[in-house]
Amino acid sequence: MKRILVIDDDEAVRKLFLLSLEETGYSVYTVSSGMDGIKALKQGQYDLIFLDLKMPGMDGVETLRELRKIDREVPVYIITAFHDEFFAQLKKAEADGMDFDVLHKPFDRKQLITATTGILEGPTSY
Amino acid sequence: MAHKTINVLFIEDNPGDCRLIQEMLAEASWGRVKMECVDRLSTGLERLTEGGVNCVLLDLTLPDSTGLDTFERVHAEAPEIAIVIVSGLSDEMLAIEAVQRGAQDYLVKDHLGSYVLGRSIRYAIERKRMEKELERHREHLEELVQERTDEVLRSNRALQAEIAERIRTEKDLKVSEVRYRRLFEAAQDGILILDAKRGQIIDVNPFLMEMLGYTHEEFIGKQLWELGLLKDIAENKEIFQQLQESKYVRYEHLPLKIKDGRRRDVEFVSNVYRVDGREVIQCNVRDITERIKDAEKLNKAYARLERQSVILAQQAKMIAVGVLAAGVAHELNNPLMAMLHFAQYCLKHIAEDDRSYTVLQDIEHEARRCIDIVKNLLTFSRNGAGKKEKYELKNPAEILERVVRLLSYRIEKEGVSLTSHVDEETPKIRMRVNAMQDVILNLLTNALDALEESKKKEVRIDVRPDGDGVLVSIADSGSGISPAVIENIYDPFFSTKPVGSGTGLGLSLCQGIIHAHGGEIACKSEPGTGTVFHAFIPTQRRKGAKSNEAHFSDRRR
Repeated sequence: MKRILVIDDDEAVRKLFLLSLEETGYSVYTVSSGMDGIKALKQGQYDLIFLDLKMPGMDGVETLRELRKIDREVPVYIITAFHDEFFAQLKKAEADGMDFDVLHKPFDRKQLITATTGILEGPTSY
Repeated sequence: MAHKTINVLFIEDNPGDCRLIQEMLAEASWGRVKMECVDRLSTGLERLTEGGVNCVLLDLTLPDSTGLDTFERVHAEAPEIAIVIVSGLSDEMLAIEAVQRGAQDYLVKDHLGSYVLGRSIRYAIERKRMEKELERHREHLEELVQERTDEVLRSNRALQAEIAERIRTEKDLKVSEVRYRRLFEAAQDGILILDAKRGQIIDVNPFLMEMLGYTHEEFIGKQLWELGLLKDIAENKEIFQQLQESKYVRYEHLPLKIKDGRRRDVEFVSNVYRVDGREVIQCNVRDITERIKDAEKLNKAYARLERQSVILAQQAKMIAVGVLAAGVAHELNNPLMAMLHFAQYCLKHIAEDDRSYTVLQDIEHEARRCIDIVKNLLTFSRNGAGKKEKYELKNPAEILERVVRLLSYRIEKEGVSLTSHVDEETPKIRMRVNAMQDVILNLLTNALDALEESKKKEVRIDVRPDGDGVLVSIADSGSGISPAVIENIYDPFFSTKPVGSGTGLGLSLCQGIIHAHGGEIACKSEPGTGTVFHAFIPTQRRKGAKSNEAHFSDRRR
């Protein structure tokens, strides 16, 4: 069973991930901070990570750098509405070899499922 | 002749001669003669001091004196008494000389006869008297002459002083005349001299001729109002009358029309004064055209500055509002998205014939609407953080498309027919994308607002190349803008919309943005037919160019 980790400080967002991805049959795990996400990745392997960019404490970009120290391969979707203020940092992370994709908020159920299966079932997945 | 006794003193040392003469005189028929005889000069002189002697008969050769000296001494003693020299032949020459020195006559003893002697004595006395008279007259005359001379001298001196004074005054006058002339000719103010009674121009200085464009001949003899300097004759006359009455007129700002029809602004001061018994008016005319122009420029600059500061303040406010809106939008983004997903989850797990199914569909639909609004808000406030947006090369059609998409809901709902034509040749423009988007959004929103009450609801958008830029025209078939309103449409806070519907800032911000791009915005409207806004934006923003004011000069309104 493919495992998905959702890191987002907003409970409503975590819940919508659980509900919308329920029918895909993947195991969805959610945590509310970057720290907890790192802990979770240390404890187990994941096939896809959804990472919120704007979070209190450790933000998405910092979390990404830590995650990549543990797992260089796992696909990561950065979730963001508008990333102007993080744009430079994201660019730099990308330049530093941090691999990630961006999923723009707001997205609906269908868009989320397509994005998820695209990674986990598509030709680009491993 | 009056028979008056004549006292004769005979100074003679020869007693014979004395006796002889005595006898001769006794025979005299012409009057009584009393003769005294003395033989010494000293005795004679003594006798003379006693007075009463009318005539002296004098022998020059005496025991105590001889020669001319004898005469001199007698003459010195009694200058007023006639002296007749009685001489011997031998000293005739001496006798002649004595006569030359003042003796009345000389008689030679050998030739004497009674008649001759008598005549000589009478004549001598008479001559002496005459002489004295003459002397007195002469003295009187001399006195008179002296007196007159003094008088003449005095008046002469007075005259000379007067002449000197005159000369000095004339010189002073001449100096002050020259000085005045020089002031008059060289003054950097116009000076006009008028006859105070009739207002005729007597003199005019070169500066005024140049200022007003009239020649000296055109000025002289004319009435002030004949020149038509002021707006109308009546006003000219009025000024003149006022001057005549008050003797002083001052206009701080008087607009004049000079000969070639141009306008000159002057400061005008006149005084009335009296010269050579006639009253004249001196008018000083100072050209203040440049000063007025500068003041107008300054006022305009102030007004512009004020307008700009209002716009800037409003822009700052809008930015703040934008930042706030963006914050709110960000906050709403997650919950709205969650609601959408929750509704979609329910729809997935509920039977389509369930009574709640359509309600859930409504929830999904409304959530999507909210999400769209938030999306738009975020798009348009993305630049609201206050940083200056960079210029990018963009196709204006792209911006237009985005705005139309944004307003498509309203366009559809209000039944507006929108036709959009973009010329294929339209070049890309260097622009601030979000700012330009705001402009198009504003203009299109205004067009839609104008259609709200219209039966015919049409909006036509044209984008085409125009010179060195692009012309975007947005025309509506709405109510139009009245000429009174159109004057004010770019003023900040000017709005015809109901309170709460418009900030009155839209067009002023639009104009600001277009000007910042080096472009120009213009509006043409016919009440009842519709309005068209033209925005011209140059493809390359010219360095230093603030706006392209001339672009619409021929088609504005």
